[in-house]
Amino acid sequence: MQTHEQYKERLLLSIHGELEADEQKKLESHVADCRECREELAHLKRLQVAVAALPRVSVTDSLLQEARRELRAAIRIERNRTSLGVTVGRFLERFMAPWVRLSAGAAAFLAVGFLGGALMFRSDVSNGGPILKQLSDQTEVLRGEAEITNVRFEDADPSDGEIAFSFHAVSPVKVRGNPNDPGIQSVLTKALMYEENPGVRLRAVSAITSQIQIQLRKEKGVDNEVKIALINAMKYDENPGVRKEALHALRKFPFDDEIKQGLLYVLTRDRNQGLRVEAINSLATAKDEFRSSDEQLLDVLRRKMETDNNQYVRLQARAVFEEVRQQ
Amino acid sequence: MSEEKSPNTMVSNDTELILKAQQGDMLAFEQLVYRYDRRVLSIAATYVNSAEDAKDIYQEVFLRVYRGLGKFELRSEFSTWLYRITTNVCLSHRSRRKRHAHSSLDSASEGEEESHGALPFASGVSSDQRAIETELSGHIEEALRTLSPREKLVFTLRHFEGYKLREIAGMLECSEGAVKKYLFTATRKMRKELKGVYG
Ligand SMILES: [Zn+2]
Repeated sequence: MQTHEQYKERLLLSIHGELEADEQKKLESHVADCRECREELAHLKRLQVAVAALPRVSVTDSLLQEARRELRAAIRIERNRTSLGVTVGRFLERFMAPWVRLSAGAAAFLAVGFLGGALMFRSDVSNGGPILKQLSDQTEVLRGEAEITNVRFEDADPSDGEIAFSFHAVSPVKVRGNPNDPGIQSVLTKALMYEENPGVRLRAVSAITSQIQIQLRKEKGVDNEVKIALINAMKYDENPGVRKEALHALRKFPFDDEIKQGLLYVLTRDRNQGLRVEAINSLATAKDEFRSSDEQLLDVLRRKMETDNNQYVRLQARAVFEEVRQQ
Repeated sequence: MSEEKSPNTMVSNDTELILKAQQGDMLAFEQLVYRYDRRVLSIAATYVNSAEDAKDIYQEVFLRVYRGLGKFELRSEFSTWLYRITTNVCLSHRSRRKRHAHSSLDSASEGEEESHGALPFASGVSSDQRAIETELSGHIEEALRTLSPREKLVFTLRHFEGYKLREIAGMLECSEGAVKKYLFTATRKMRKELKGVYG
């Protein structure tokens, strides 16, 4: 037999649905006869209701998208930090070696190399030694082909005989390889996803695009992972230029549901009007693929033709909507 | 939400993605992340009730996953590991900004337009009624701040995310009894703080 005090402790578990059925039953019959427990229960319920009414930040698709974009950027920084020094060497070694072997058939030239650098140099300022001379001594690894950009001085005061600066070194690596080589696709995919420099990501997309053309001409399927990487870049890359290039590259693929979902995502979520214009254009081109029973598509189009703040998007959405509905 | 589904259903299971990610396949890593990240963000948002702080937690969680994945052993469940990291990051999180501490309504509207839809105010409610609810929210926010991080995490996960106490115990790596205790203490503190405010 349980005491009143023991029942009282269970009231909280009870309102959270954490009691076994028989325990719950016993408690209920006690509460029916015990005024103190009834009052306690009512009190707990009021608290629960009051707390439940508290406004909370809700996780919208766009909040999630922002979080994903920021994570990508953070991982880029992390990767480029760890890819200095030894790791860079290993990375290049691992991916360079097989390419040298593969040079048959339809060769593609790709430029994907990138090094991020943040180095400290001792500069003998009293001799007036030029910085660039120091730089070329230290960067043999780049074989003198590197294009140095974004030089930033962190300590430009030469009076203490020491200066510090950081830079980006973009080093084009010319690669001759078979476009069907998964190694190349893998490097391009990586470059697209995690290179910090948006210019390199853009070049990766255009290299991928040229590969897709070659492969589709040969009626070979394109690696699905490349497609997913492009879809994700179209949705999540923080650089609108890269998102747009990825969207263009996807036009080369046979239209399918994943691409459709990606385009609808851009159409509903992208804050850049230009991207939404491109997305509705892609959907317009593919309109023969849609069925009038596609409620999800029609919903998005209906919303867009009424609420998008870009007039072209509204008109085009209406046109696609009308056509699809008649199919 | 529906648009999130398709690219992620490509690969059959976590193990496959983890193995690929451990080999440096960033696409696999991303797919793995995208399977769980909405829940991680949701837990964080519930706990801190601020979009910016929630994103900070999200990022820290997945950076830890990124750094630690190489040592992750496939014997254990990925999701368990992930949610433990999530709760750990939540517990040690210190808000970067003081702003969100003032009013829950401010932080709710910091996010997207869509989040307004989540506010529990019915459109027919009078402005007096709203003012009262706003005041009550302020009191509850104040009261939540008197809880210890663990008490607050248990309380919010239970009240706003609907997790079972057993699940919370798994996330916090403690016994179910301990979770019950946190919930009891949190409830007692909340009642004390809110005495005479509601009901
Ligand atoms: Zn009783």
